[in-house]
Amino acid sequence: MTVSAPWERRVHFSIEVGQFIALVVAVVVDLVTTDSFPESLVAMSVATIYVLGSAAVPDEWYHIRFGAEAITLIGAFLAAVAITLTGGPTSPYLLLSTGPPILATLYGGIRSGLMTGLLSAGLLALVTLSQGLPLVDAAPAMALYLVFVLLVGVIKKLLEDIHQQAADLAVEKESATQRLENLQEIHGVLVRLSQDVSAGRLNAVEVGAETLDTVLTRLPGSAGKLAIEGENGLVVLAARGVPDPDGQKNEIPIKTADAAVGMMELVTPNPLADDDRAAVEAYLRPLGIAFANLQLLQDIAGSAVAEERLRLAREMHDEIGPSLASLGLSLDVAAMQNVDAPELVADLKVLRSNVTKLVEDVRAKVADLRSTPGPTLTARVLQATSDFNGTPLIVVDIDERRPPRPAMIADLTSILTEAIRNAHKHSSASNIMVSGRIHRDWGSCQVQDDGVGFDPEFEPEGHFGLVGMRERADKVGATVAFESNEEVGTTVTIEWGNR
Amino acid sequence: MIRVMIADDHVLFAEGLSQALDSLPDARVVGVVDSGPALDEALASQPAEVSIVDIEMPGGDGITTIAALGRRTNAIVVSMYASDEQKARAVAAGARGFFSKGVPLLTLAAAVRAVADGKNLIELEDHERDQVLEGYSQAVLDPGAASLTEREKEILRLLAVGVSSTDELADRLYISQKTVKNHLASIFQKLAVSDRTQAAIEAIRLGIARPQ
Repeated sequence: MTVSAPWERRVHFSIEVGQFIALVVAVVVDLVTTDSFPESLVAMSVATIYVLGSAAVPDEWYHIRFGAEAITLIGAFLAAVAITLTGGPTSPYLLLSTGPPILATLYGGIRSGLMTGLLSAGLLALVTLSQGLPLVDAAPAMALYLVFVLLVGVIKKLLEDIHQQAADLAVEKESATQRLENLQEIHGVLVRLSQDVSAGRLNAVEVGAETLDTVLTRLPGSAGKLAIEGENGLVVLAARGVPDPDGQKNEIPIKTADAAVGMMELVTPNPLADDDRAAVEAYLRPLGIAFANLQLLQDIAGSAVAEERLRLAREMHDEIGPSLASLGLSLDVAAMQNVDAPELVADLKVLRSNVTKLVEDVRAKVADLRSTPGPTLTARVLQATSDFNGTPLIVVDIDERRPPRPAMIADLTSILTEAIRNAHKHSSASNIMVSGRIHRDWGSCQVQDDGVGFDPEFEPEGHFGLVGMRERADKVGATVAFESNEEVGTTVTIEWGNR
Repeated sequence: MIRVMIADDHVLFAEGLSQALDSLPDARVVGVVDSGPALDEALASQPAEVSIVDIEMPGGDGITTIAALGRRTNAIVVSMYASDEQKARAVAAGARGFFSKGVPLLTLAAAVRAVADGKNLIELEDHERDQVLEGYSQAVLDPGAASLTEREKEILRLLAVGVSSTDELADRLYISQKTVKNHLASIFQKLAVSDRTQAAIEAIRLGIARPQ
C-alpha cells in the first residue's frame, strides 16, 4: 500500500478546511432562506456526514486500488442528495459538492477527477431536470467542477515534480558524498605511501602492516594476513587478529597492471560485501605498485645482480614509470575537476608532487639501468690525462669495484681531471698520486701532490677552476675538499654517496 | 578545438593521457595508436593539429615516424627515458616539443596549445619555454562555445543529467516546447553537433555541465 506523500496530506488538510467552511456557510444560508425545515435538516445531516466522513477516512484508503474513486463517488452521491433537498441548481450546498472531484483529482489524478466531476455534473443535471428547471441553471456549477479538477490536477503535477526533484537531489548528494569519502580514504593511503617513499622509509613490512590495519579498521571483527611474492613463494609480512573458525575466508590478490606481487587473506565474520571488497581492492592497488617498486629497488640495490634479473627489473620499471605518470595525470584531472573543494585540491597537489618525484626517481634509476656499461672511472681518468706529458709522474691507483652510476660518472671524471690538471700545471710537484675506493653508489677519491701548495681560503678569481669543480660536485651530490700546505703539497678529496 | 592524436604503446599511460587531454575544454583526442606506422595511417584518415609521440614503440622508433610525417602534424615527444642524444634526433626530425612522462597536465596542455598555434618549444631553454607556456595556460574556447547564453547552458546542464525529451525540458524550465526546440537548434549550431547526446557530451567536456 502506498503511503501519502507529506505534500498530499497537507493539500488534503487544506481541502478539508475548505469543505468545512463551505458546509458552515451552506447551513447558515439554508437556515436563513429555507421554508421547508424537515428537508433542510436532512440535507444538513447528509452534508455533515459527508464532510466528517471524508475527513475521517484514513489517507491510506485513497491509495487502495479504486479507493479514491469509490470514496469520492460516495461523496458525490451524498452531495447530490443534499442538493436535491435544498433547491437543486440554486442549493447553498453547490460549493460543497466540488469537494469530491477535487479529492479524486488529488489522489487519483486528472482522470479520476474528471470521472467524479462528470458524475457530479450528471447527478446535478438529473436533479435540475427532475425539478422542472432548465439545464442551463446547472451550467455554472458543472463548469466549476471541471475548472477545479483541472486546477488541482496541475497543482498536483507541479508538487509531484518538485517532490521528485528533491528526492533525486538527495540521492545524488548521498552518492557523491560516498564517492568522495572513498576517494579520500584511498587518497589517505596514497599520501602515507608517498610520504614513506619520499622519506626513504619504504619498508615492505611497515607498509604491509599499515595497509592491513587500515583494511581491518573498515571490517571490524575480522582477522587478516598479508603476504608478498618472494623467490620461494609467498612470504607473510603482517598478520593481525585471531581468525574466526566459522568465518568466511577471502583471498584478495595484490597486483600491478599485469603481475601478481602478493596476496591478502581476510577472515571476516560475514561474507564480504561487494563494496567492502571493492574498497579493499582499492587499498591494495597502490600497495601493489609500491611492492613491485620495492622488489625492484631491492633487486637493484643488490650489487651482484645477474643479467637476467637486471632485464626483469628493467621490464618492471618500464611498466611502473608510465603507470605512475598516468596516476599523476589522473590526479591533475581530479584537481582540475574539484576546484570547488580547495582542501581536496591542496591534498591532490601534494600527492601529485610526490608522484612527480617518484616518476623522476624511477626515470633516473632506469636511465642508469638502460645505459650500456661504459668505461670505468679509472679508464676515463687515464684517458683524459694521457696527454699530460712529462713531469710530474701521475700514478692512478683506484680500487674500483663497480663504476659510479652513469648519471654521475662524466662529472666525476671532469672533477678528477681538473684536480690533476691543476696539480700538473701549478704545483711544481714531482709526483701526483690518484687513489680511492669506488663502489657504485658511494666512493671517495684523492688527488695528492707533493708540490708547493696554495691557500684554499684565497682562491684567485677564475683560477684553478675550483669554483667549477664545486659546482659540478654539487650537481651530482658530491663534495670536494681542498687541503693544502706549503711543505707537503695539496690533497683534493672528492666524496659521494653513503657507505 | 585542438585535435590531438596519441601514439604510445603503454596502454595505461595512453589511456590516462587520453582522458586527461579530453578533460580539457579546448582539446579533443581523436585517436590513440600504439606504433609509428599506425600513427601515419591514422593521420591519413583523421587529421590532427597535434600528435603526442612516444619514442620507443613496437614496429619502429617514434622519432623516425615524426621525421616521415613532416608538416602533417605538430609532434610533441613525451617519453619516459629520453636521453640528450634522442632529444637531438627529435630536434632534427622536426618535433616541436620534448617532455618527460612525469609532465604535469597543465604544462602539457599549454604545450599542446602552443604547438597548435605554430610555436616550436623544443630548442628553448627551460625558462624560455616556461615563459612561452605561461601565455598558453588558459583554455582557448571556440567562439561557438563562448557565445552560449545562460538559458542554453541551463538546457545543456539538464541534457547532461539525462533530461532529454522536449517535453521534460519544457516542463522543467517553464517554457514552451517550441522555445526549447529553438534553444536546442541554437546550441547545436554553436557547438557544431547534431544531436542532444553529442551536445551533452560536449557540455561535460567544456566544463559547463557535470555528468549525473
